[in-house]
Amino acid sequence: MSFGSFMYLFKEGFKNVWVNRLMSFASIGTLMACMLLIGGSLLLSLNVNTIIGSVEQQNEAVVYPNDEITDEEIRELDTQISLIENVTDVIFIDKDQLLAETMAKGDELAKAMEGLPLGEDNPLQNTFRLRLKDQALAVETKSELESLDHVAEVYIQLDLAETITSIKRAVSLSGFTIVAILVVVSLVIIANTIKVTVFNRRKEINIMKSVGATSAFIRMPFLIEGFFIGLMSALMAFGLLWLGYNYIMLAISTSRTGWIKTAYENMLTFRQIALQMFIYFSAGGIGIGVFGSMFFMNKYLKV
Amino acid sequence: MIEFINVSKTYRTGTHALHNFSLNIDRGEFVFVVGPSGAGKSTFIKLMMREEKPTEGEIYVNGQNLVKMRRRKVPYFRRTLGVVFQDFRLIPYMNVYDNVAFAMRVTNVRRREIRERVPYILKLVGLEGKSKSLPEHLSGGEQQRVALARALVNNPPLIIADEPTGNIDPELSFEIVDLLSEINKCGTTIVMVTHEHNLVSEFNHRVIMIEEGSVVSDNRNGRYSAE
Repeated sequence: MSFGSFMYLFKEGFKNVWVNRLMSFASIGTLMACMLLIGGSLLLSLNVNTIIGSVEQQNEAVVYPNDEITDEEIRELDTQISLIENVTDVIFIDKDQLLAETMAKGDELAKAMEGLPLGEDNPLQNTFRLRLKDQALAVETKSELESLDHVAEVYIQLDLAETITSIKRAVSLSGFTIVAILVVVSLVIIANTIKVTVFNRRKEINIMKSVGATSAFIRMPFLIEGFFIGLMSALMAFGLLWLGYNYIMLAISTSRTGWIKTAYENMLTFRQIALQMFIYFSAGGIGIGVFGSMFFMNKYLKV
Repeated sequence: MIEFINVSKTYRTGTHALHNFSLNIDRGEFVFVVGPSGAGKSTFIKLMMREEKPTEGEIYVNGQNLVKMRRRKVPYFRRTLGVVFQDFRLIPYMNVYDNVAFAMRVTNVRRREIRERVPYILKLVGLEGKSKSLPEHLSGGEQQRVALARALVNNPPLIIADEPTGNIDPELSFEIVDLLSEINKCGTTIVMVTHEHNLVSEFNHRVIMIEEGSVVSDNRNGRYSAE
């Protein structure tokens, strides 16, 4: 194919978007709607996951060492606890510190604990506070902690860990299922749209064939058209999603309800995922536009 | 120029379109192919254009064996034909000039050549003033002349016309066949399928009659009968 022909076909491709503007509009609309749905669901499930992740982080475990433990042994135990794979953020709080901390929590607590002695006679317990990286491994981690020397008691909210784990699993699974269903439905709808577009133009393809155009020559403008339509849809879906997402974020950010506030703090900002989203959208849109039309054209190119 | 040797064509649907069909058309001839509908005229055209392959037999057109031809060679073969259809088959969003130029563009010729050749051909068919018009703004006769211009533009040795007068007024039909006859005088072979008896008897050309997929008469003086 000569450069002159290439330029001619390139121009034809762009011209065709306008000439077939009704179908172009329908295709862009369909592709865009599909991408919006998939993108929206993806954002939703990603956010639910991070919010649950933040709840997970708040589930604290506590390890009480024996009363007889020496300072030396406390340091040793601290390292041993920190060495456990699933454990993070280990903090040691001695009983005097704990007393002060507890009294600072409120007047009533302060009153109740007034006069308690410090040092040896302090009735409170030395405490290790720590977090679990993965709540799903809570039971295993608990027994690992219990097996360490000088450990009297390990306290982990196993039921909470279990709940969080199952919620996380359910969210991931349903998010994945919804996105997968949307992808399949989108592909079917898009395939049909492309099929209709190509079908509408089968005569034109046939005419080109009958005057001796090669398949490559006929395909070229369709390819350019598919590329352009895919790219347009991706750009528009991306822009709309960005606007919509920021609008929702803005609405949430002004809420005074506590849990919504916490959720907001943990939500992803659009910038964090913008590049990835943009790449997926463009690749998906252009890929579908180009390969979809090539695929469905074949049938009409065989004459 | 065109040779069909014992050609049979049965479609996948089971329709037997041609049986043991043989004919020979020489360079420079003007041939009318007539016959009732369903006789196999369309199949004859499709086989000549290599839109279909025969079930049996051999076909040679413009020196090419169409049965053995590979699919990727087909476009290059079609550039040696000019084809005119009953329904004109113009590309609706291209103007007259672009429709004619398209047949040249597919052959990768230089733009300068296209710019010289297309206006010349449009003048030849009497459409020099209409080059910017879209097909929908033209009458049936004018559209068919555009199609004819497109068929002529690459100067093919063979023109196949499939009921070219089927959709236009009788007076204009005569003009179209007259134009084809003029082109024929310059040496181009013309095969025209038609069922308009009046038109055929007006011109003194060879007439081949097809019925039920076979040649039933072949007359060199422009007369034919069903018997």
